[in-house]
Amino acid sequence: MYGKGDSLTREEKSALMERKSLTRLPTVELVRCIIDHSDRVALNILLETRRLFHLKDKPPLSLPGFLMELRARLTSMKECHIHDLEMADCAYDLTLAKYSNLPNPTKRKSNHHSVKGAGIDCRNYYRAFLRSMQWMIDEGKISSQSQEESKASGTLQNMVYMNYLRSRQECLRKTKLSIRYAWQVEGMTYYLWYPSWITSKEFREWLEENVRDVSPGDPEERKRIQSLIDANLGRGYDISFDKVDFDKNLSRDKNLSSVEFYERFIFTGRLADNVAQKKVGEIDSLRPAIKKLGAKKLERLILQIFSALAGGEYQTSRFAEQYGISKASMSRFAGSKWREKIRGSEAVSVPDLWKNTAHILSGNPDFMEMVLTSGTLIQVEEVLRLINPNQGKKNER
Amino acid sequence: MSDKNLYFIPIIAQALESDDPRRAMAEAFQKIRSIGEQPDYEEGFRQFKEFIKSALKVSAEDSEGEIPWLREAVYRLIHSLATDAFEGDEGQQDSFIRALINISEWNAEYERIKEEGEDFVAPEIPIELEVLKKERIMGSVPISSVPGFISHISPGSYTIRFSNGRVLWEGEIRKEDLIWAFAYPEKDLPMAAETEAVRREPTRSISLLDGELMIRIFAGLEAGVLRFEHGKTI
Repeated sequence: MYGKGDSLTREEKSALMERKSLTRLPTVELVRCIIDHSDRVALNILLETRRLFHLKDKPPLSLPGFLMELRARLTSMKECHIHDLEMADCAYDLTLAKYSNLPNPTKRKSNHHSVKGAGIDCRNYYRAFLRSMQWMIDEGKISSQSQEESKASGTLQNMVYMNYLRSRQECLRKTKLSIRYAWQVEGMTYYLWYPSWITSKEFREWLEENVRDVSPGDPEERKRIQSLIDANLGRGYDISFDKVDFDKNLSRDKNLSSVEFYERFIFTGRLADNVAQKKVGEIDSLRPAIKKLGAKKLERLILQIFSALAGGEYQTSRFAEQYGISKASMSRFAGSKWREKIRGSEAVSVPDLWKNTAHILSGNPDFMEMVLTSGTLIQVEEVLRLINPNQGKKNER
Repeated sequence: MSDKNLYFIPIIAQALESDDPRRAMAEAFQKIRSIGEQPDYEEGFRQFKEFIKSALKVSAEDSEGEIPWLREAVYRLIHSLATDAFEGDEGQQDSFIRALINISEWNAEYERIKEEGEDFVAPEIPIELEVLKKERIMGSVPISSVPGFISHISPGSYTIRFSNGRVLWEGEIRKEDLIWAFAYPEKDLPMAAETEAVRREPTRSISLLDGELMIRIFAGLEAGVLRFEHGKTI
């Protein structure tokens, strides 16, 4: 008589044994396997068999089950609009991706400009969980394995819920944002905004079909065209990816999922690359001394500046000489001394390159969170007063 | 060296390359602050503050005063506070909450998000010990109720696990462990054997979690009893 186990190959048996041993691991160790070894089996076990999530009057839930409950909450309102359904789906997908997407190490990233942006990496989210658990262990707040499991459940549930709230916010932004487009017509360039749900190609076709009789001499023409767009296509937040230079990257890969689309500006690595792309993109509006370098030289200069800074050997005069730029121009572009005395009083002038760097960083949530919680660096209350929480809400529908 | 004035740029750039950008950014800010305390880097730290102002300013200019990125960062922090998942130290948390509650609109928003999450934010999560026979749950004992027992256990393959799915033990529990006639063929079954089973000597003991918990098995007339006890603590 042969049981099922006898017909298994050696590899299958070994895989079964591995799976069995993983089912016995403490949740914290299971997560460690995911982070340290990108262990997909461990990830499957965590998602499929661990019921770490608790809701009142319900049996323990798996992570996807918990997210389904959250999704149901968003769509159970009396007046559930189609927009709410889309939002609920988007928030569910995005949060699940945050805890289930393991990047494929063999798949080449399609875009060298977004090092971390080729997709969500769930390890980043599990690291936060592990950090919190490790802190509790180090602080002696856990005295038994059952208590550790209880704390692991609570910690993960709170983090998943937090990331669900964030996903909802991110989905809202994604569905509502507008993208800037430069439309060249009748010898003029009009900078227009269009909603993100259509592609730039579709938008151009829509313009060509619907915006006739353009009057290049009329100073109000841009406004008129924009009103037409808003009336017919709708309009959301005025966030332009090209301002922070992500659209260039995004447009190169048309097959991005909503999740990847989002991720590309959450984990934006390669600061130097992004800054260089931005400056090159707006080369026509740069000071003549810098503009005359041309796109390629400008890009090289910026990358070299960042590289020299990292190597501790940045000297503006050396770069000025190398690129044939006057010291004053170089200083205005990427100087390291921002404070100067003008007629006895001190003035601060942040050079263009560093302003752009700050601009790009202002789109990075990790950086902005640090700024807001940095205590003495800024007056948080003053900054909060600048932003009205209710202002954004009117755009949410 | 002139780049002392810009020492913070490569530190931030490096943080963005990290596999763990959130933590790396926190460490970067700490490093910038600590280096900035050195006299040589005083000016650099002052410039870092200007750099931050610049980031806030451009964020404000981004969309005719809408300040979406900054607004988003504030919401991210509120979400982490409302779900008890804030990652900074207590000082950071306190100063942010203080600023938040001083502004009525933001305070209302914070309270709304907290209230919305009441059903989803985890209180203390109860863990139970579950006994399964062929994937069917035969009984469970909350960890808080240990020592506790599960009766009517018949011979077969069993899995003992936490209610969160972590498997603690798998194996056979035999008739010699559970049925009096097989466990003690020479002895008569005492009166009220079923109900008093747990007062007698166990037929078998199984250690769970390196001895943190113990299962004692007791034999009965037709079925046995599993009693969960605390072992040593870790």
